[in-house]
Amino acid sequence: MQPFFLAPTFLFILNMEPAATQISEIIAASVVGDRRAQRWLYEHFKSKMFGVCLRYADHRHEAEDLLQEGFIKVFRDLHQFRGAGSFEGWMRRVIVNNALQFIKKKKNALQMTDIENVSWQIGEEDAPMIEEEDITDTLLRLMHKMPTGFRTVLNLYILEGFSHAQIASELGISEGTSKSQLNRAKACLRGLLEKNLTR
Amino acid sequence: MDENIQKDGLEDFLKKSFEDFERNPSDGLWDKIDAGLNAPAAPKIVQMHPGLTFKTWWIGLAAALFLGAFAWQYFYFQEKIEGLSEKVAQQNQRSKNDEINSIQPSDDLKSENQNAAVEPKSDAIQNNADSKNLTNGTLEIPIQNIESQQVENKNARQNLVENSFPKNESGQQKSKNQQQNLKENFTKNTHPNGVEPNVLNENQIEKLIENSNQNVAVETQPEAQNVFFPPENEEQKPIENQKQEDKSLKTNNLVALNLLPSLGFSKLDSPQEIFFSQLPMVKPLRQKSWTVGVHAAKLATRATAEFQPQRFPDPKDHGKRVAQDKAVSGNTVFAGVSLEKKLAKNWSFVSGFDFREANLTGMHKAEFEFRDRKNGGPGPGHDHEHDFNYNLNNGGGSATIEFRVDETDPTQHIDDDEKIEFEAKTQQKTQWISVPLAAKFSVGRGRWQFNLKGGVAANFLIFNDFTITDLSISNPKFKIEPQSSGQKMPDPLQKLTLDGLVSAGIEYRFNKTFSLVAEPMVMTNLMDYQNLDFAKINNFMYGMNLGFNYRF
Repeated sequence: MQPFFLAPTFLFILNMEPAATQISEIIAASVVGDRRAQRWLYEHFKSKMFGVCLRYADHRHEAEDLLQEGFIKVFRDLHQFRGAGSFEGWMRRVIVNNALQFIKKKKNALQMTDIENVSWQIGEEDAPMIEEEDITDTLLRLMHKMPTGFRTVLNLYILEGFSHAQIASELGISEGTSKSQLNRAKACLRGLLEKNLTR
Repeated sequence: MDENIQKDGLEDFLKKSFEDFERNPSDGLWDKIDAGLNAPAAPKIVQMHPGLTFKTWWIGLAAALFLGAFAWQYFYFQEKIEGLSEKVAQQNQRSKNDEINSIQPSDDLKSENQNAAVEPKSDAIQNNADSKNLTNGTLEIPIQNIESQQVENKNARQNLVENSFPKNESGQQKSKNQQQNLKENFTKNTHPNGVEPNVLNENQIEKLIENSNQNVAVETQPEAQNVFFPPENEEQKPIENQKQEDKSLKTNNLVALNLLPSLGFSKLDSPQEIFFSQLPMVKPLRQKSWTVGVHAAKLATRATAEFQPQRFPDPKDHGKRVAQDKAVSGNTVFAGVSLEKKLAKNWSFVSGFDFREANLTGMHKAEFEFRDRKNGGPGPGHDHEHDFNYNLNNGGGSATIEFRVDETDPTQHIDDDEKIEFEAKTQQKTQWISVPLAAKFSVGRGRWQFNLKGGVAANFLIFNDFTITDLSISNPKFKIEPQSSGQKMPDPLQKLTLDGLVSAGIEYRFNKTFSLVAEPMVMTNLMDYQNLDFAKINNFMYGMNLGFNYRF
């Protein structure tokens, strides 16, 4: 019999960090629909997962929509998590997959884009001095200026660790396209950063 | 920071910048999630194979058209056959009546037959004399009896000859007229020999039946055609030689003609065959040319992936080496219906529909070095746990494998070049609708037939499932963590593939209609099963096909 003070709901009420062994019980409670356990999982992972969504979305409002849909999918598919790998990794994968589905639904989002075609999008008036904000926020803001295809391949390859074969499969493009989009995305981001740094 | 964003450092700069990137969403977001969880879940649309709906639709349409055409032609011809059967029954009845009523000695037939072949009128008298010298002992009795009837029927015979060969016609014209008369007589199923029932008793008939079995093959067209209707452009042979040749023919022909209505037909199997054999043109006996059957086969299967070395391993995976043995093996079973059309004496075209399922398992090995572990690892507090991942591609499918290993001795130092070999067991299940198109050569005698078949099979993918069933590690310095997993990648299989097939088997015929077939067969892919542009899949199957056929 588990002591009441280790129960997930009790921990949630106290807003305490449970031990690693208790995570599985919180997950188990969430699977059966315990809303407080689900709330605890949300509160525990929302910041990290929102950071992920911000990288894939065009703006904050879209990122919140992705986070909302992603968490609903997490709770509905939670019974499929069998303890293989970390729970955070599994949840992150669900959130990323949801974001990819959203992106694929966007019309022409993954069209090949040349760097020349996006240079006009770098509006100088939109680029604040990099010293005025956190570097990650600056990076994020600049990434939002990139075409969705660029940003998605950049996210998947560099930040998620996908191979080009995986990216090709996920996005329904060829490996060659994935590689070329990555190179162009890096060139685009590099140009954006240099433009901000030289101001 | 300028240094970080240089060409070679941009990726690391981004990774470090976003490593612990967290931002808080709006406060009210949980309420939206809570409301979304309370709402009934929308029906989940699982589209395992994009485009399958369309393919299923046209496969179904093709199957419906095929079966519809098959059913139509079957019932159409069945109806015709039934109609013909009735006619044949009526003709048989009429034939029996004619047999009783008609009186025409066999030597008349000989005469007419020989007249038809050579010189109709001039040889008729000679043939009358020859008829007494028939060497067939069995026939002597009826012939002697018949001789007594010859006098009585002389006038009738004379009338027949005169009607058949008017005196003012040339010999060639007479011959044609006689042939026409014979055709008409034969078409009407009248018996030119017209043996009366009281002339041949039952025992004599039985003897005739026995002899007829050794006599002219009435089922073979060429001989029958020569007997009744010799080619018009055939050279006229000298009379003496002609007579000698005709003697041998006469006996056979006489027996053939005498026995054909009453005995020869008894060797045939179906009324429609009798009918067709009685047509004026005396076509070959109609053979059963369509065969429909059911069959099932089990084939040992082995699929091997060959990767292009310049494309694998991925350059990003520096020290990673993936074993080249990419084979999966298992069984393929298929069952379905076959339709066969006989095109020539020994050749047939074979098609049909099969449901085909393959279950393949494989053991995939990948060799890493310790330096290939993912950056970052599981996180703080798990310093001795390490993550590895790679893409598995073998003959069965593709998957992303994620290994998490723990050091068995945390105090031990592990070099970056330490070798780690992972093993992943895979299981693949695929289902196809298969349409074979093959040519079949058959040869044999009696009930046994030898069949040789070769062709292609078009396969339409309807289901594919590829899973990782087991993960293990060979290096004792590490133990695999239960969190390791295999994640399936999107289905890379082709929706339409083509196989080549060859089989050599035997067929046992229970009767003219039903038969059992056993044929060892070999199949291999003519098209690549997977969409991977950096790998080629070779598929090889061998096994036994058993079938049950119905000919019509």
